[in-house]
Amino acid sequence: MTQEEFEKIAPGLRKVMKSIGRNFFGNESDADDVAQEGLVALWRYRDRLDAGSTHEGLAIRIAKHCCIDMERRQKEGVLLYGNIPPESMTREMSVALSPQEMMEMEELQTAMDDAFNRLNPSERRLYKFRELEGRGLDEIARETNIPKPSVKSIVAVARKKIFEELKKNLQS
Amino acid sequence: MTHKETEELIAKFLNAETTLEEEKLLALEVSRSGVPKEWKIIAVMLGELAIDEALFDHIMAERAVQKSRFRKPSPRNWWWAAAACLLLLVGVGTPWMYYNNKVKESPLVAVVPATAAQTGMTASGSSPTPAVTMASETYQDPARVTLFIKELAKVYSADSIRLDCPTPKGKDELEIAYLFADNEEQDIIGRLLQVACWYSNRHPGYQMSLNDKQFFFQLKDSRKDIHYQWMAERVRGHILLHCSHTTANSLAFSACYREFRSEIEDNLYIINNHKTIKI
Repeated sequence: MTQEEFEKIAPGLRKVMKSIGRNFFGNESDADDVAQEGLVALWRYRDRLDAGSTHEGLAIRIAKHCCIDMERRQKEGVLLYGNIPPESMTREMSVALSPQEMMEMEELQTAMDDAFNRLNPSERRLYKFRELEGRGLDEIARETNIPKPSVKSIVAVARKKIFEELKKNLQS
Repeated sequence: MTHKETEELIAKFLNAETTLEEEKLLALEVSRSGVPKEWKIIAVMLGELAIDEALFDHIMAERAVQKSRFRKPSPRNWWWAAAACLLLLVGVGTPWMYYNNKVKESPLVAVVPATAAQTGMTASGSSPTPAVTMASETYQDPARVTLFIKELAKVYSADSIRLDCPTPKGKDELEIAYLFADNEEQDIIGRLLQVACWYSNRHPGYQMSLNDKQFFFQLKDSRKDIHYQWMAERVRGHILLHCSHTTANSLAFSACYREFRSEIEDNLYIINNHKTIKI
């Protein structure tokens, strides 16, 4: 998707994201932050977005993620733990991953990207629809004009390929 | 979800047979800390967006349940409340009627000043006299509330934690905390409210307060000189119920409980808000 195409759909998606933020936090200021962070995240995804589609589903998912992320950041600090200073918190009190876990997840993520790139184009396309945009099989079938059983079978093959790759990576 | 159910859902997920709702459930399960390594792979495959969407929907659904419970009670709840009141009327009314009839049959109760009765004196005289009691109200033992809570905890398999407080306590003193699920089925605060309504508001030390976050109830047992307090609080999707029996002059809600509550809140936060997974 080009910058012009993105700019065309951005105002509509901003409204959707703001309304999700308003529902979650109950105030305008946090809702604005959600919309802002959401649009930035969506901008980062723009290369993977197809032009000509509204991408409202993806915008909703991103807005929900931003709400949870903002809530998580607020609660990680002093707000959650009252008068306990952040530097005195034990590892168990922090919701962030430990350095070892973080490294493990980063390795898995790299392996995930490699495995995704090794999928054939149709598997990659349908996998992206399903996992990134959170679309149902019926919706994907409608959008791509591929019969639902075929969509299901392609997504299953893609998932199994990625799973096996990641498993191998974890074992090695 | 049990371990087996999660494994089954993972198999369905790999065969692309899961619905979006099932995938949300799966996302909540596999993103917890300390899960098997294969589950972590599924968490990475589902991605941060799916996991946070599942958390978001879960939080909003819980909020909706709480809102509807406190703002718009459903007609079904009113029927339950009416039935409970009727049961209370029958439960309290029957012994009261029985007691009234008995008084009519034996009018030879000595009349003594209230101060004499309170100090435990008995009436003396030539005629056979029954022991004098302050029979103006039936004795309602406050300890029954705690017994009721114990039964409730047993039925719903709630965790009970006896607080190990550093200050030595007498044999009748205790501090126990229970952790119940906060849901419509258990309706802990509603049930406690019904129990509190059973006691006469002229009971010594009677005090009750209720809001959407907290229920507080206290009674005194003048006979045993014990102060009873119960406090139920909504803490991160659970009801934390604190029962305290103390002698009248000791502090009811100890610093020990406050520490415990803060620990529980932290632990529940970690359980509820799974670890951050980067994609």
